[in-house]
Amino acid sequence: MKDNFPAWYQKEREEAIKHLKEAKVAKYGVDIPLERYIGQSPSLRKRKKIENLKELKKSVQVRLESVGERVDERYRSASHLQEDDSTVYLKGVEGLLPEGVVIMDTDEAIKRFSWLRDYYFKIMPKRLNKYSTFVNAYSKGGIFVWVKEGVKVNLPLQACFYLKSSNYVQTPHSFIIAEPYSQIHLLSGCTTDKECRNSAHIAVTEIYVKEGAEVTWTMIHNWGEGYHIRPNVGIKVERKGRYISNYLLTSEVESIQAYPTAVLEEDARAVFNTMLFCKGRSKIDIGSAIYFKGKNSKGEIRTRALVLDSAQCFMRGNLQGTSRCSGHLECKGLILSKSAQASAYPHLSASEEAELTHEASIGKIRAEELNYLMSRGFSKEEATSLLVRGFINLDIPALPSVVENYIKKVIEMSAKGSI
Amino acid sequence: MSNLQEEMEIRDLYVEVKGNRVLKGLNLQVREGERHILIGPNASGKSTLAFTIMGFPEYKIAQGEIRFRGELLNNLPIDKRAKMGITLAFQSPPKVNINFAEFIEEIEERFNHSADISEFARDIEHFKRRNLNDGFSGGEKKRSELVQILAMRPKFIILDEIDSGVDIDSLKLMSKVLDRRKESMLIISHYRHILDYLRVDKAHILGFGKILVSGKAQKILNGIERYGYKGYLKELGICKECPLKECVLIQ
Repeated sequence: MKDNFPAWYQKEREEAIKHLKEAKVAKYGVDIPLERYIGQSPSLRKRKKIENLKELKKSVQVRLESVGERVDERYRSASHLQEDDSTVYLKGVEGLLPEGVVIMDTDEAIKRFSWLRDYYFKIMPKRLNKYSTFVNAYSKGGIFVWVKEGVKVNLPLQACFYLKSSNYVQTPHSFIIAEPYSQIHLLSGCTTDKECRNSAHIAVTEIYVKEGAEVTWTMIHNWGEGYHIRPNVGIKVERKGRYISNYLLTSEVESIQAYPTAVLEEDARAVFNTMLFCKGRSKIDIGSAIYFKGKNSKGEIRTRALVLDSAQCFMRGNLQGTSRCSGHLECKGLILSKSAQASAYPHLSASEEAELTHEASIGKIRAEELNYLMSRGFSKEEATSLLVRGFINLDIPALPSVVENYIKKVIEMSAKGSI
Repeated sequence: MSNLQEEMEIRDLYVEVKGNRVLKGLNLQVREGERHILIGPNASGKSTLAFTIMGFPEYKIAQGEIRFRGELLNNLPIDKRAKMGITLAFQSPPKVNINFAEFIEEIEERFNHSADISEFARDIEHFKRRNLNDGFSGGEKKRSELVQILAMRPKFIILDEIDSGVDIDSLKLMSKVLDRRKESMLIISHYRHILDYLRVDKAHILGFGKILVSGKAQKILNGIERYGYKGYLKELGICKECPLKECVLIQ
């Protein structure tokens, strides 16, 4: 792999490898011993490229669809699939992906565009913790999306990170670079093969929303028992830019820790919507942060967590207002089982002109509401699922219908499990 | 024997809420198509009776029985009772994170019946967008309650203080709709003015956890109007039997 990379990049990696031994343990989340993954390779060295997503096995197609990917590629402008460390599919849908949108595997982009150096670990600190350093040292793949000035992509671009090998770590480094007044929606799904066990996904994504541009990133995660997930995301939103993040976790995991952080310039906006189904023995630690650097910047963080079984959920939120700005933070947890646990850590810090508010709540379903709905003829299970649906609903317009149906199913199952 | 069937039959009912005995030997029979009004001072157990008939698990039947059309309700869950046609319009319905219009649709689907909201809300579109009881005014809450229970093909309607916290126009509107209905009703109230708009057959005064007086609605309500609870019960000779210190009516 080393061969064709530019010298600056090779140096970056060498330094990161040196650094890794002393790299900081992350502030939040359970610590993953990374040593066990170093030197591991995926079970198959070279992944076979495919011509069409329909070539995939039916069982794989089902997994992809569970995270919002459309195998038929309808209503999508482009599709990407990374299996373990290799991009096996990457194509624009004919007539729907405008010229002026460049999508490629990140490793390719690094070889091709020398200017990418100016974006590489420029918004995400590479020494933030051992995970960012690990990606700095060993990243493979990732999706590079570059939307040129004024180009608007109407339909979402779908990207999928698929884990196939067991005891393996996937380390994509992705970029979204939206030039001034461009517009794009990236719909990314992360999931695993049904045979895959005990793997990890440690990623870095850097998002640059330039003046007046709009980026929506909808991320849907469906992992499984035994997976450690560390998506590190940094976003820079320039003047009048707009960034919308929708994050949905539908499955059990061993652990997830994420703290996507957006820095807003003047008149910029950021919205983080997060819906978490914390199941099984998942240890989930998710927060979002917004730094309001520019005046009249606005931001909102809304998190809803449904905490079931013996899952643990930490919801964090951080609004840092250093100029005239307004921000709102909401962390709400609904606990559906006796051994489930949730904590909320809202943090606001403001200078005089900033207007920041927060709302945090954790509780269980109230008997009063349950009785009320049951008195309208709904069984306990139906009433619970209605209340859960009402709780978790963040009215995310971009959610694919297959995912909405999937959420409905998860809610019904959760309601059943909680009674 | 009358040829009218007993719809709701409550015999010797003792109910405990959080360890406190609230109802103590209550008897009540409502026949098919009859409308009964249940009155009594605050905390006399009126809502407790409504919640017990509906089957709320926090209201525990210690003794006695409740039958609907001959079937024993005591151990049936709330939704089973609702499906039998027993409905309750809540005095203070809780705020729920469900869109009002979608919720009505869910009820309609369940009972295979369509609700006519037009009569209740002049501002239906506004109503539809909101969540259930979220920011509803007093009158809107009561009207929404009626829409919901009428969508359930009710057989027995319990109205818990439908007349409190509403303006006279809302009350008139709701009474007009209710007066056309043929279902049996148990109307719980503090006030008599619902009688001005709605025909009611019988009245009962609740106190000390049981029915103290039953009779023709007009007669009983006139009596209370004239003498007050205290005076009327004295007049009827009921208070003589009561140990004065635990009397909530005469203080």
